Amino acid sequence: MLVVGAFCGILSAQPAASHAPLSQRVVHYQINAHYNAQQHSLDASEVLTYRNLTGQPLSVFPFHLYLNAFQPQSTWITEAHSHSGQNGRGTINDWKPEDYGSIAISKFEVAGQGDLTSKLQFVSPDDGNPNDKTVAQVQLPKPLAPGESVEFRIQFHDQFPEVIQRTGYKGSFIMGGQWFPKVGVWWHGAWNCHQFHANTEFFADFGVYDVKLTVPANEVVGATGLQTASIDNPNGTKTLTFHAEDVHDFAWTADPAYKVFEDTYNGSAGPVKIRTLMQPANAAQGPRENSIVKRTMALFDKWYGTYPYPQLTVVDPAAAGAGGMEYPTLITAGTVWYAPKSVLLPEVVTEHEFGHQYWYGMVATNEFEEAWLDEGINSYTEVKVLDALYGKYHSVINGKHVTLGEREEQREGYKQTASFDPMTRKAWQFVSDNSYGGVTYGKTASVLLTLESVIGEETMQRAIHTWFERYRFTHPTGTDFMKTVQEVAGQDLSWYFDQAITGTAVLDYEISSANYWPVDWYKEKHDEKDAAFHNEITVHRKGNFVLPVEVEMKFDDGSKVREHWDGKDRWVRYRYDKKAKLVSAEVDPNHKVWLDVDFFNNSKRAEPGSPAATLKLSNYWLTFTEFLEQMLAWGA
Amino acid sequence: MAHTNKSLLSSGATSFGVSKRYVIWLYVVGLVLGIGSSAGLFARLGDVLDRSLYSDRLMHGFDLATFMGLIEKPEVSLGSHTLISLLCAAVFFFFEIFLAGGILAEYLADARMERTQFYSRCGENFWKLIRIAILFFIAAAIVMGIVRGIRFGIGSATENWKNEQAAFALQCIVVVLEGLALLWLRMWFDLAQTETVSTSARRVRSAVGHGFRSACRAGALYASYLLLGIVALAVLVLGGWFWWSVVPAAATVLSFVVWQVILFVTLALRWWQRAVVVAWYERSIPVTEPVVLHAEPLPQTPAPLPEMNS
Repeated sequence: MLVVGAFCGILSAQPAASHAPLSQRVVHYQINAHYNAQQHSLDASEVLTYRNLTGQPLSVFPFHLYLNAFQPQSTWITEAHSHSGQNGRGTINDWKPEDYGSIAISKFEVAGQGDLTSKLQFVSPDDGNPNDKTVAQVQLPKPLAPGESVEFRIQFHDQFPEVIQRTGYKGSFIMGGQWFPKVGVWWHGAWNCHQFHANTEFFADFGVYDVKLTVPANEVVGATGLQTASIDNPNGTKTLTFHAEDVHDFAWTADPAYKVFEDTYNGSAGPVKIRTLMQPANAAQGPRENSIVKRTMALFDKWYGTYPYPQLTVVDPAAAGAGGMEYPTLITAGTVWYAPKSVLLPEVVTEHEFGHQYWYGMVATNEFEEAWLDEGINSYTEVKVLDALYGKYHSVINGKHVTLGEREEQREGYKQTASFDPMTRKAWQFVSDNSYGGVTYGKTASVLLTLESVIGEETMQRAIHTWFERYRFTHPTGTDFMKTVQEVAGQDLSWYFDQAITGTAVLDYEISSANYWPVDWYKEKHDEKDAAFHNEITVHRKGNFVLPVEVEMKFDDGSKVREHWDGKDRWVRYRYDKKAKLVSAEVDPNHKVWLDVDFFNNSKRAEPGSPAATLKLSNYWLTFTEFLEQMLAWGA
Repeated sequence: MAHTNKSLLSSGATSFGVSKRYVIWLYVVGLVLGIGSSAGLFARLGDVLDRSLYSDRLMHGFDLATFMGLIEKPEVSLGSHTLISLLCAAVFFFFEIFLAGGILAEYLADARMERTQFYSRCGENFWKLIRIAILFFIAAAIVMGIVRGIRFGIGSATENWKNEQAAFALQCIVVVLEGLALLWLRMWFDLAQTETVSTSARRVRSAVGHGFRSACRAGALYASYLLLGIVALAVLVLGGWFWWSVVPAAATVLSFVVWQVILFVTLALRWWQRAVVVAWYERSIPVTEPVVLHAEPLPQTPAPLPEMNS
């Protein structure tokens, strides 16, 4: 539940810029960190004030120590190495010393309860891996009563890896993500604090962050929230102070080489400063990044709700491995200096990461357990935004001889793994990386696009808008989402959700036959002028997914017939006796069913049509073969 | 005969002109092999595309997702067609080596040979040229391996460069140098081939050795080689650009013509290069064993003696 204003003022050290809380603000992190750019390490002290809003006493507190994932026998590394997706090995093939990362707590005190450093224990709630150190928990001598606050005082040391899983250093660049001890979330009557897995992202409580970051004086720094102060120190460093409210994480980046591009978006909640930090090589792409951010913000503002934060920082990382990641009010992009204008991948990445500000950032669902609510809904809204900006079939590649639309790309992603995992599978339990990606991103987007054909595009937009407005700054579940859609649509959609979201049914309709023959076929001579024909079409539901569909028949006199089939049986046959021959039959003639895994068999011509497409592709193949011949013959 | 008063390029062009019919043959055989490799695919694609309305997305433009969906279909099976294309490329490779013996002999003679004589030269040089090709591939693999190592080293050294364009430019320079090295290598082995055909030597290793020594002092030849190589690259790039920018996506016939012109010109330029090698060879190295040609018959009656002044 969203409790606005109820706890306003409990947290004492609010700067003047504070406004009425948007979230419950369960946590308040005050961190003072010193970054050593030579060692790629960091020493920090953290004061975490936790407010017990659970309604029951709490004596155990778990903490995420994400940087410990980058150690040889951790669960993350083990999974990343061994995940045998359908395309082979996982993302980590060889262990390199530079991959090592760690977060070590040197002191852990609890105000009024003393030094509990020795009481910290590593736990592995998901897989029991004794070598995984990504979650540690502490038992308080005195439980924290409901409504009370507790202050944890932690000193820790980070060793960043060379960029891996969107965090770490590369040359002079550093991306500080998941870098501090972060308390778990009390959710549905229990602590939710999962280990770091190869396919999982994050889940945390909303709160306030006040972070002091000391870095070499020449660094250009970007971070979550707003920079409120900068002090030059006599030792060649500077200390920057950042303040962020109603966010659930804090990330930062630094690089002396960043080129800064600033812009402003005037949204419905007031001006938003866009601060884009570009690598020098990609500086020419800075305006391109700002442009897509502003255009995306405008559509999100119009369709789903307001962006309430005063700033968004866009980071162009020095390493591709740090690109394409979301943090509250800070996103990392993915571009290259030679990116042609007809290839819109920089736009796709930046749009996607901005979209996370709404679903991951504000609605803040549990990414460990229900990743589709963030990545999937975000992929759907990404399709909608890119469709609106660049067109359905040109929003990724817009070349004369090659085109690709984002909705097609999403569908391609899921087709390969359509039957393996339901969308509701916990992120680390998918059969493979491919299945996690294909189902979480691509299938969710395709499911929601197909849902438009059931409830209408406008209703779908209202449903997403309602989902955002109702649940922002809470931690809703998939059930909440499905209830919201049904409520807005005013209909029971459980038949659809059971198949699409919680099930693994595959949707595939085909026109299995489309024929015609003269009514008087038995006669030796037919009356060509006034001939009548039997036209017969069979539609087959190949997959297990049942969805009502439309079927359109076209005849050679220009007439069309549309039929509605409930899809419940395995097949249906349509017969028409008329003075016209069947030209073609097509399932889903308006191309709304994006879950269908094979579009080629959705239509059939009664007679083979022009071989133009066949000739065109065969010509490409001929040219390819001749090139191959000449290349090999160069050695002759 | 060498056209000693002409430039190398011009002499090569003349020789190329004499034997151009074989280059046309080569092109035609390449085309026929290509058509052969595409025929099976044409039939399989036709089964899917000619019946489905969805194929329109490949006709008017080229929708990548539609294409992916097509090749994912088990009935299309692009993998087996790739194998057929590789097989066709191998056939073309051996056919070109086979013809090379005869064509080089014609270049050396600077005159058309009788068909039987031409094929006789093709046959007698075939295995020798195969052996030279194997040595060429070994040498090329070594060069490419070395360059790959250099590129890896540069990649590691420039990994953290903020000026990515400079790092890219450095890689480009290495690629250009690799291209130049491979071109020189090609010239070396073309010289070896020429010597083998010219002298009818049985030992190809000595021809390769002579070729190397010749290549080391063949600056003018290398310049001509480079020029023709640059022209071929320009044809490829400009032709590709023309196809991309001007040819409509649905104009299959025009697309076919454009690519065939590009392919023919690049093939012709390659054989012009070989003719230039022969021209240089004839100028630089005395022919130790004259090429037996179908020469004009000797006159039956002796020519009248010049009158002697008394």
